[in-house]
Amino acid sequence: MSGGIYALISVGLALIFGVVGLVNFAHGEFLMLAMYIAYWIYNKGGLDPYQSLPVNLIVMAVIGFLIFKLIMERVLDSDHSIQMLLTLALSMVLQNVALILWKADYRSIRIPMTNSSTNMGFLTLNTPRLLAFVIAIGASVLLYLYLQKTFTGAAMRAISQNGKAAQLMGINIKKTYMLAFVIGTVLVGLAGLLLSPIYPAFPLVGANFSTLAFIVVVLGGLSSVPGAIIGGLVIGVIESFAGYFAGAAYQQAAYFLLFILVLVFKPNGLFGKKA
Amino acid sequence: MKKMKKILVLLLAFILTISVFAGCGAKSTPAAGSSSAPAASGGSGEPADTPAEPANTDPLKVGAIFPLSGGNALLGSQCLAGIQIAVDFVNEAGGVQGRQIALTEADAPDPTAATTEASRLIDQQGVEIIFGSLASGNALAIAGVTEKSGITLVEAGGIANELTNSGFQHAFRIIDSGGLRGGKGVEYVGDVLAPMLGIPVNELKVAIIHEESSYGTGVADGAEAQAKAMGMQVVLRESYNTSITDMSAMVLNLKKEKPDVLFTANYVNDAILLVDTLRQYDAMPKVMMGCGAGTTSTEFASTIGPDSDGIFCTDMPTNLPITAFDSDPELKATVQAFRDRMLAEFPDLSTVPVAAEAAFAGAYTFLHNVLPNAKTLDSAGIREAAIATDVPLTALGFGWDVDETGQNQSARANINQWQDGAVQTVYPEALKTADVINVPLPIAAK
Repeated sequence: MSGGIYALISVGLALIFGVVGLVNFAHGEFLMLAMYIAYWIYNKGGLDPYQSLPVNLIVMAVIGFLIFKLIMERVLDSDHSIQMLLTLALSMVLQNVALILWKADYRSIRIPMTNSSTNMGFLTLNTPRLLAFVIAIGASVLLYLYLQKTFTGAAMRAISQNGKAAQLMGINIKKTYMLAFVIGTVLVGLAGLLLSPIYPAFPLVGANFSTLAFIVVVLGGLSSVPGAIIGGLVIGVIESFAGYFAGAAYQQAAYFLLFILVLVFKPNGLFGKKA
Repeated sequence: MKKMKKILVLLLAFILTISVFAGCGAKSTPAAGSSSAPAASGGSGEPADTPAEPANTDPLKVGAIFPLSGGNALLGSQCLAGIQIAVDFVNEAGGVQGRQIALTEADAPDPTAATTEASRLIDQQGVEIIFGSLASGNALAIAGVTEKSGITLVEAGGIANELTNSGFQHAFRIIDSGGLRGGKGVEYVGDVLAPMLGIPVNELKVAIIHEESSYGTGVADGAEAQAKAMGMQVVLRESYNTSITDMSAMVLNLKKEKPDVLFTANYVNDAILLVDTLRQYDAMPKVMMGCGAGTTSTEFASTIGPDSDGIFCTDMPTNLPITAFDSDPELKATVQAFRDRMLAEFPDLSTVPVAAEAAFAGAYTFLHNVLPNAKTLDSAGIREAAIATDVPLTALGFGWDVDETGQNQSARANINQWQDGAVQTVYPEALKTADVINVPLPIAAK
C-alpha cells in the first residue's frame, strides 16, 4: 500500500531530474512542508487534508515557483556538483527553519478516517492508505499521460532526451524547466498531503522518505517516469513481504539489497536508457 | 549520463562523510551563575575530609551532552536546563569543595556526534565530568570516550544494559537499566494483571515489539527473560528501525498469534504508528505495556487521544507528589525550587518532563552529595566516592547506592498508566496516584 506514496514522491523527483537535470536533495523537505501545510490548515481551519487539497497544492506550486525563480534558475548552467550542493544546502535550511518555527514536536492529523478500514471482500484495508494509494497512482498515471499526449509534455520529453536540440526546435527551455520543477513540487506536495492522516509531520520527516525516493528513482532508471511508478510499487511490495515473512527488522535491508542487486546487474535501472 | 552518475555516486559518498560529522557545531557557554532563581536551600556542601594539598579554587569544569538539534531537541534542551539548574544550585551554595562549577554544553543529536562532542569537551575544554544524555545510543558512545580518558560520566537518561555491564569504571547511572525495567513490567503483568484478566500466568500469550537500538533491545531482553522465567508464552518478538514508515506487516504477524499482552519499547513517532496500525487491523492485545521514551511522552497520549486510556508505561518515578520528600525538608525545598524554575523557563509545560527531572536529579545528587565526599577530584577519587556514598533519598524519590558496575541499585521503575490523558502511577502501592482502569483495553481486538 505504501508503494503508491513512494511512487508519487519518486515521480516528482524523476521528472525534475529528467527534465531540469537537477538532483533535488530538498525533495523530502518539500514533502515535509506539504505535511505541515496540511496540518496547519487542519489545526487552524478545521479542514481535513482532502478538503484542503486545492489550497495545499496551490501553495506548493507557489513555493516551487519561488524556489525555482529565486534559487534554482541561477544554477541551471552551473556544474552538476554545484547544483547538488545547492539542493543539499536548501534541504538543510528548510529542515532547520522548520525546527525553529514548529519545534521538533510530532504533529498528527486525527480525522475519524485515520483508524477506519474499508472491507473489500477478502481484504481489509486502512481507508487513508487505500485513498493515498489510489490517488497517488492516479496522479502518477495522469502525469505520464500528460507527458505522452500534450505538446508541453512532448517538450519536456524532448528536453529530457536532448536539451540543445530541443532548444533549437524552438522550445522555451527555461519555461519548460520551471513547469517541470513546479509539477514535481506539486506532486510531492500531494504525496505529503495524502501521507498526513497516516504519518505525523516533524522537521526531519523528509529524510525518512527521500532516501526511499532516491532508491526508487535509481531502480526505475533515473529520469524515467513510468520507471519511478513501477519502482515505487516494487519497493512497497518488497517492504511488506520482507516485513511479513522475515520480520520488520529486515524491511529496509530487503530493499537496500534489491537496490544493490539492480545496480550490479542492471546499472541503468529497470527502465533506464543505455548511457 | 555516465558522468552524471559518477558525480552522483561521489556526492552520495560526500554526504555520508558529512553526516558522520553532522551536529559537531556546538556552542559552549560559560557557566552562568544565574539569574533570579530561588536560592536553593540545598545544603552547605561542606567539604568532607579536607584535602591536604593547598585548596584549588579553579572552577571545576563539567560538560553536558544532549541532543539540542534534531528530533529530540526539545526534550534535550529541557534536560540541559535541568543540569544547568543543578549546577546553579550547587554554585549558589558555595560550589564543590570550594570550587565553582563551570558548565559547558554540547549538542549531540546522534551517537556519532556524541562521540565527537565528548572528545571535544575532554580534549579542548578539559572537563572532568560529563552529564548525559537522554538516549541510550548516545550514552554508550560517550562512555566509550570518557572511559579511555578516565573522565566520569553521570548518566540519567540512557537505560541500555551495556552501560553498566561492559566493565566501564567511570560511568555511573542513577536510573534503572533497560533490563530491570523490562522485567518490572512483565512482573507486574504476571502478578497483578493476569488475575484481573482471569488468565493463568502460564497460559498468558506475550508479544514483544521493540525498536532495534540498544535501548529497545535492552528492554526487550529483560522482558523476554522475565516472561520466560514466569512461564509465560512468548509468541512473537520483532524489532524495527525507528525510521519505519509502515508497520502493517509486523502487525499482521502479531494478529496471527493473538497475544494477550504486548510489551513494547519505542520512541514517540513509532509508538504512535504502532498503536494506530494495531487499531487499523483490529489487533490490539488486551494489555499494552510500553516502556519509557515513546509511550510515556505527552505527545503519545495527546496524539492518540482517548484511545490511550489504559495503556501502561513503565518509567522512572515521575512527577512525584512533593510530599514524597517530607523525610528530607532540605531536598524537598530544592525539588520545589527546581520545578518552579523549570516551569518558569518553559511556560508551555504543565509538569516537568521525567527526563529533565532525572537529568537534574543525577547532576544534583552527584555534585551535592557525591563529590563533597571525594578525597581527590580525579577519576579514582570520584569513583571511590560514587561507590562509597549512600544517599537515602534523591530528587527521583529513590536513593543513591551505586555498585561496582556503576549501576544505582536503589533505582526503581514505576508502573504508570494513561488515564484521561494524564500519566497516573498505579504501582508501587506507596506512590500510587490512581487505581488501574481499562483491563482489558476497550480498544482490544474483538
